[in-house]
Amino acid sequence: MSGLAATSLGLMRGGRRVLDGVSASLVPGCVTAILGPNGAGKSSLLLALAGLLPTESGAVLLDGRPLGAISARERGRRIGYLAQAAEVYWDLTVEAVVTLGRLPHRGAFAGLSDADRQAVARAMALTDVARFAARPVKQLSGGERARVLLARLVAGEPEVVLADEPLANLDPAHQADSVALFRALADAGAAVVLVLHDLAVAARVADRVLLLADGQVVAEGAPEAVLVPEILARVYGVAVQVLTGPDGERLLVPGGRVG
Amino acid sequence: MSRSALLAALGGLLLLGFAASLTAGKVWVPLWGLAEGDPRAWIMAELRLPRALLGLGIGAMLGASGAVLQGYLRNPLADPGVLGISAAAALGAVLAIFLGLAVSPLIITAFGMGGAVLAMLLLALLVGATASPLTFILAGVVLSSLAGALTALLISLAPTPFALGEIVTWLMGALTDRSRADAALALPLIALGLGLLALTGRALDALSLGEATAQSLGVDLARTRWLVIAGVGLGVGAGVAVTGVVGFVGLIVPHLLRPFAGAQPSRLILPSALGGAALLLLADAAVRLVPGAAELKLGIAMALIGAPFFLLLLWRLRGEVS
Repeated sequence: MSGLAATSLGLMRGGRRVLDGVSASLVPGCVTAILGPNGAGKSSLLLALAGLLPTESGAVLLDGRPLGAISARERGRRIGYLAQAAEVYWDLTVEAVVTLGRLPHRGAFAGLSDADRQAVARAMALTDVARFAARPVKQLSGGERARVLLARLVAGEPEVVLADEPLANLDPAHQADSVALFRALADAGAAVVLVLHDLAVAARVADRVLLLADGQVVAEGAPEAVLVPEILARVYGVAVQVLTGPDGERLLVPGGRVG
Repeated sequence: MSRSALLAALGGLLLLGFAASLTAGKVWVPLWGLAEGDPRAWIMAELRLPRALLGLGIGAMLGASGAVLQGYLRNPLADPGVLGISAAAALGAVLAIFLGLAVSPLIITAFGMGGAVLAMLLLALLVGATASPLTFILAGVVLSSLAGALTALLISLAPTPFALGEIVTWLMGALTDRSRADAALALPLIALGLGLLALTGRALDALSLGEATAQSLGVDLARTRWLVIAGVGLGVGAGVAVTGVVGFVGLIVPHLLRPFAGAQPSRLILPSALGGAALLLLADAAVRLVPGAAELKLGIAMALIGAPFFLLLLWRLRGEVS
């Protein structure tokens, strides 16, 4: 099968079950949101899906092949991972950071090909960072830096996009831009997986939702089926109202604690 | 400044340093003194040339090691001297002398490399546990003083006062009176170390986005770690075994060059190697000109320049490193 699939992933960390039999199927063309309370195992699951966190049980398959059987460079080309609140340690220029996204496409000592340059330029245009291409990243605001790092991911043209809280730090306009960008990546054939905190955003963005709690999948499916008051009250312990917007879209409004 | 202009400028500085190292001294010898039949040819071929070649190789190694260690650890204060790698290499070499194994310089060199690699492994254990630059530097300081104390212990237990005097002089770090044999032994090892470090560039660039992201870009972290450990261990270990401890080159050079070469770690390795070689050659030529009966030790001169530089750097970075 195509896309990325996880079968009953299990992982202990510091005496705690972080992942407990998590299975997921992430198909091309689909935006999947991973949701859950703090400490539910969302980021660990994303790392495991990226092949960066070895699990004790279960396997992650890319087009039916276990990630362990795929070379690191091929994995790098095909699976893009965007870390949460990622830092840039040296004062690189925006363009240098975005160009790092092409690393798995380049030979050991090869320079940039035309395809590399075009991918970098396209990624900077899509994320609205082209106008500060030559600026050092340390001079940018948190939101601007987040877009630069997103551009780095996009420049790699991966088939699978895994992003940990990609919308945090963004102002509403750039949040909308990023959501549209993830949608466009999915429409172009990528399997897009986003760890999200904001239920309302998830309801708007995702085709499918994977709801985690205590390292287990508690609900999975279309947002209309999963993001309903009963399930959310059980998992998050808060009352959530579901309203209908002017265009018939579902609006989630989280309220106070229940019980 | 374009990259080719920077490399050309550093290359020019390096040539200047090399020429200065050949000509400068209590006896000035012009470059054509190397010509056959010249009475000074012996000085040039047997004393000045090995000294200049060693200065070139060791300076390049120290500069490149500093650039690679700073990139790998994402720590602007990293340097083989500051992290205790040079001190551990010196301890290894002194241990070889103490054990009476100094029959061949090869064994001293092997022990020096062993000490450097061991220090790197200890630091590698620590870097797994903490990412804080300050903790890492403190670990290096502890390693450095431990290696220094053990070295002092070995010296005080030394069987003959003659060996003692020799060790102390060598420890202070100098290129004086190194032979062709020393150069023939150390330079290939240094070249090998530099070769290994040159392979790390891409991985270091990716690491500037953090370990997880670097890994997601296809970087093999274990391979990178071994390249850094083996490269720095071989090169710095072999260098220290010949010259003793010459500190701070790896700290100063990448910092001076970063504004010209850019902050990207891979683009800093070659300029730092050239700059390190030029700095060491010029410093080694300068110490010969200091008046006095005995020559000023190169290691002491570098510490006199480097320590205030380190303090200045700490002052400028005080907000960032904690």
